[in-house]
Amino acid sequence: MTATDAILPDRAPGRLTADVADPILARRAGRIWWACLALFLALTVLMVVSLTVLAVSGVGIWGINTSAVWGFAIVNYVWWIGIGNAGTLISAMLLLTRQRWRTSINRFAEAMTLFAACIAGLFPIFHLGRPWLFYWLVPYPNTMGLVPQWRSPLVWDLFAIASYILFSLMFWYTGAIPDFATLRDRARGRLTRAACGILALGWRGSARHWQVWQGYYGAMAAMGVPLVISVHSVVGMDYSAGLAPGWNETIFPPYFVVGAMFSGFAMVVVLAAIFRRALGVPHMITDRHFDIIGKVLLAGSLVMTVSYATEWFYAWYSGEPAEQRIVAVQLWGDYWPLYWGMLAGNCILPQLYWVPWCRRTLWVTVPVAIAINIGMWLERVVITVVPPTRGYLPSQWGSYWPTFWDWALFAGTLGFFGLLFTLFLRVIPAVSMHELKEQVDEEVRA
Amino acid sequence: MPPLTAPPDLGGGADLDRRAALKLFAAGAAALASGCRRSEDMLPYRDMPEYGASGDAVLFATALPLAGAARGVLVESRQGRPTKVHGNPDHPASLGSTDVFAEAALLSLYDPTRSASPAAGNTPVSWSAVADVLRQATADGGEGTALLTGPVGSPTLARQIRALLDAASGLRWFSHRPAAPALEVPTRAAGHDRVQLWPDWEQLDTVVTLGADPLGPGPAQVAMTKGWTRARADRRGTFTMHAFEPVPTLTGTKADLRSPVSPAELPRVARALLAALDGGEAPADVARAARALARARGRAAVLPSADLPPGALAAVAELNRRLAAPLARLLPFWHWPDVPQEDAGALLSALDEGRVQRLVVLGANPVYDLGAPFTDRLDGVRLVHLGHRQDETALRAEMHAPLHHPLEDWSDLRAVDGTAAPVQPLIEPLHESRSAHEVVEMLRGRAGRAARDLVEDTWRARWGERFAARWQEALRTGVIADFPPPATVPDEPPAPDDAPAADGDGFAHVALLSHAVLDGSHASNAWLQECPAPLTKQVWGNAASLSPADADRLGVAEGDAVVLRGRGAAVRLPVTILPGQAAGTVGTTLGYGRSAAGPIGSGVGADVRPLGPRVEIEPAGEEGGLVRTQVEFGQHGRDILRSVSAEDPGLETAHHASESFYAPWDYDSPSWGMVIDTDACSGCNACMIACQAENNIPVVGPDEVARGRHMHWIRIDAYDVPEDDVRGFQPVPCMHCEKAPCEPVCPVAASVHDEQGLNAQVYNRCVGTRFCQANCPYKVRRFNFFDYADSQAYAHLGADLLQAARNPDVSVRGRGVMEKCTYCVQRIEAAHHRASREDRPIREGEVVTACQAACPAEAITFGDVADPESAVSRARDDPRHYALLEHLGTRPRTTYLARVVPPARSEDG
Repeated sequence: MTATDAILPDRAPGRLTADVADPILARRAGRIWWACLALFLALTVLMVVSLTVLAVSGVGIWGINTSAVWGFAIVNYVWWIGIGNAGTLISAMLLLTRQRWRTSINRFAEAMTLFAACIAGLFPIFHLGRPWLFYWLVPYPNTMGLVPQWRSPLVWDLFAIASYILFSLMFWYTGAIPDFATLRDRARGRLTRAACGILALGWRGSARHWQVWQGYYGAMAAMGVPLVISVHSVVGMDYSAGLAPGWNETIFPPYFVVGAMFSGFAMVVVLAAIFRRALGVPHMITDRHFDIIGKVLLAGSLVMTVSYATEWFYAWYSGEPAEQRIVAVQLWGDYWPLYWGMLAGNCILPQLYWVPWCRRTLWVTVPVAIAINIGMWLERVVITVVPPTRGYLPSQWGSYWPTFWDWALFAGTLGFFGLLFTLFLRVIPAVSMHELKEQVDEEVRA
Repeated sequence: MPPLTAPPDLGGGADLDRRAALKLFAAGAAALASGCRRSEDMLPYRDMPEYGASGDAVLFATALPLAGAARGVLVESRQGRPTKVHGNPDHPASLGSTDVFAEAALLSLYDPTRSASPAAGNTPVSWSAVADVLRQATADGGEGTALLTGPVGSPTLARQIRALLDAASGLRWFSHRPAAPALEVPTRAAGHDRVQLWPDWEQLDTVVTLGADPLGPGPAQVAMTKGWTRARADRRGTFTMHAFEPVPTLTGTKADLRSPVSPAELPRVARALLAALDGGEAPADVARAARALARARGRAAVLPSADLPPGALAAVAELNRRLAAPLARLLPFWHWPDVPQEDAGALLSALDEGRVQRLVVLGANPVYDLGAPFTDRLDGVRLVHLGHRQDETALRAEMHAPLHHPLEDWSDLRAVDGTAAPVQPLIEPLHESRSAHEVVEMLRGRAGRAARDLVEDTWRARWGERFAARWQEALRTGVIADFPPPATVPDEPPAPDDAPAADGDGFAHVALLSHAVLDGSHASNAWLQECPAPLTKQVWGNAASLSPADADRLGVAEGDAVVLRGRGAAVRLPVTILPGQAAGTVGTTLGYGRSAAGPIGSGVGADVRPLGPRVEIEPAGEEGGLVRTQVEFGQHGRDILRSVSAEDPGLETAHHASESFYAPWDYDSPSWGMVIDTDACSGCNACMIACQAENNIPVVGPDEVARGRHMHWIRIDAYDVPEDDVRGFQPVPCMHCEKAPCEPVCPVAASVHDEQGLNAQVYNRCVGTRFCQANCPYKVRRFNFFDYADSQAYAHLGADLLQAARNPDVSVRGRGVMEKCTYCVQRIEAAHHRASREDRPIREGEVVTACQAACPAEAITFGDVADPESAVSRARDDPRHYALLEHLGTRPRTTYLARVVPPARSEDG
């Protein structure tokens, strides 16, 4: 096995710990880090301004209208929650299936999940006409004697997102407890030591600790897999439970889950490349990782392509002129560049991953991954925006064009995501040290 | 009263001592306390009537003028403020229905930008100063003074003007009538210049129109639409209407046969009809119309446009004579045989000759209506303007003073058919305005008699001692019985043939009255500005309509800007493309391009009056700013607006109620439903404005409509009917589906089904997810993207005064809340209250929705579908009955009757 084929670093456990912990504890932040922080902070300010203007003026500042009542808010919600899907998938499903390569990427993939899911959670709340009343979707004892209307997919959605975010947070934190203990032990400043000590919950690394922890972590992982499926299935049902043409499709739940995994893995590729560079750990995040993820993306791309083809087929097969019209408009209507952009990003470009060299070569694999993310974002635009503008009654056909504030909020959330990640790099061990060392140890013994 | 000493000069640094200050303060307080208006006799209640306490609606009968002619109305008053206009079933120009202008009169009453007090330039003046100026104008016989009014339909005002002319022999009275009623045409009969044709629809089986639009906007619209729809319903299969017209009108759209012909061709059609009646040769469509006319001799009429040349009008008169048409030839409502009245043309000549030094304008806006020909001659003329607003004429005038809104005024008014109705105030005048009757008295140098006394004088003189009872009866019913019917105008002598109108270069220009702002006089009314043009669905502006072939030839698409040039004027308008428009013609709408119509109406659209009858068109190569509520007019093979043939009126589809997972609802009677007859709907929009008034629906403004955010709860979809080359109408309120797609998707149960079958929207429970609208296949829900009703209202529409127009029974919706048609649930609940007080079930026909009440075409039936005998149940048994998008399984309660393709079309030739 050559060095580039390895998925685990060939280093002593102590070195590994230093590789991960030093950027947080010892090294000072570099100029690039500060530049990123400034950029993302500025975009975060834009997000806060957008949300403030939104709260003051109302959702009318967006491009939505009587025909296309859902716009970028829902597009971005679905996109972010999709990105948020992959982290847990990697941690939980790959843990259960004992995929060893996951250990160097699972921590930041989980962080990605958590951040993306939180950002996603903002959108359904702020997209409401009266966002300050969002808690009416929660069943709680109230003087109105009302419970939520259980048939609504939006109520299912609230439960799905809320449980997913809570689960992701707990799973991520649980996985990091032993590493917080490591940081506590290596920390030089009192403050860092106290903070990490609190987060480590008194972890001493005893055999009993490890035994309890492993049982618990495995059980969490087993719970996590259905949640990953449910959260995006329910997002799909937000569309498919209705009867709007272009939305009322039973294929949506599975197709949304695969799409989410697809976009999430693509985002992992992008972030992994940045990490490898930022932390200087090519021995931990190796070319082999990109190779494996490339295969996953290729599989995802094929499933997406089949899904699109299925949509076309059923539009034709249904005999419903409204459905057929929507497919035609998506392909050849006003928004055709979006649809063809989506096909390029999701179906055509990922075919490069058939070639192993492309999967392993960063300057090929990362642009393709970015193209997938753009393609998946366009898919959400095409699904959310086009069908309502071509509904059953032609008299109500309209169009949707995003406004400045639509773009500002999207850019702002991208910045906020970046900001959280920039801070994450400096605060939390970005690679799961204990799992990595355990794997290396197993490797050595084998 | 001793003369007042001048107040101390407060400027110039003169010291104001304590005593002087106190004196001024006391004088000011006394002036405030004494008030400014003579109050009418108002006695407190001895026994408080129940309505006063409960806030129940009280109806008062009055009449509203449109282009000077009355439409009788019943106005709903809530605790002293008018909140809704209803039709008056007893009045011949209403017959219980309304038009958009009557419904929207309410908004103009409370318009905060109405002129509030007299002013000379920017300086407020008192009414006594106005009275002085008016008195001086007629002081020495009125020589050099002219009075310009709009059409005068008030017997009292006519009586006053005659007295004024008698007293001031030098005064000349001119009247300008920018919006003539349909079928008011020039005549060559001796001693007359105009005649009002008045068809007796009950006696008509065949109608041929030559450019006439009796169903179009104007004071006769309601009466004509009623007559037409009843004739069509009662004599289905017998009654046919053939239209020859250049630009599609409502009449042409509803005609059984429609031939697009250019304006120059219309006279030829008239003569060809005459020839064909004599058995001569004629083009196929003319021959077919002639055959239909000949078959129905004695029950057929030809209705001409007022724009036809004299020879063609004489030919039409000859046709009607030969057909023995049931067509009355009435004196126009504004014609007063014993009062010398001149028209606007005479005024322009008088101005040219320098005979007018002073011009008093009473209730007219000549600066806009007559345009440059008037303003160019205005140098050196002292202008006094009395009107409702600071309009274009007011801005040119030395002095302007406000007139009462018709809902604040006492008067009397004739309808187009000549019958009279009383006008009574619903509310004390909101501003420092006066009645036109009082102003004419001021011109006579008399003051002190209130409008009410002046109006009563007229009728007291006529009725003598029976006055008190008859006047009370008139005020109660809203009609003045036994008003002498207008004299008929004798038939005209034959005219020489017209010089054939040459088809010159460019396009024939046909300018029609606007469905929204009429002649521009309603431009400052936001409800009307946002009321879509029936065929193009344009709001907030006018457009140039072209036939598809001409648009192709010019290389312009819908919405592109074009420049129309004619008579030295150039007007830029967006293009709309209308199927069924005659090639070589361009259609425009009057009443736009106002420069002083307040924040609502100023700068909306362009004024096409200066263009003249022929125009050149060139593409401007840019976007034209066409704002519409509907963009796509094709049906795309979806069976939305369905048609049946007259011979076989049944729809072939089996009514397939699809299965549902949800259990059926369990209803008691009543269980409400609505049936809309798309064959009857004439597209007049009265339902939309009635709904807007009844349900406190906000106006959103042109920018928001352009973003696709109109708020009307009932809209009228227009679809191309491929086989006919016209558009058909389909009003779409909420469908109140049995299996409503909006209900299961709402997470907070704001969209719920009630025990009467209504699909209810609970505003205060709504959080604004908009899922309901996303899932509504009919897209009938409306979302408050902004706080349209109040803090984020368009222009000044959030003003406090406008809140008085609101229906207190209907919540005003805030930002972020979804709303929609409720079947006027407040009226249903009121009926429940009445019925339970009287311990009886709700009667059939007791609940009438606002749209149904307004509809002059009687296209809407509403009632209890659980009662098999109800009108709505009978309508649902009609073979033409169908549900919109039935295959989706929504089981709508609002259903439709299909259009009927008339037998005339399947006939030979």
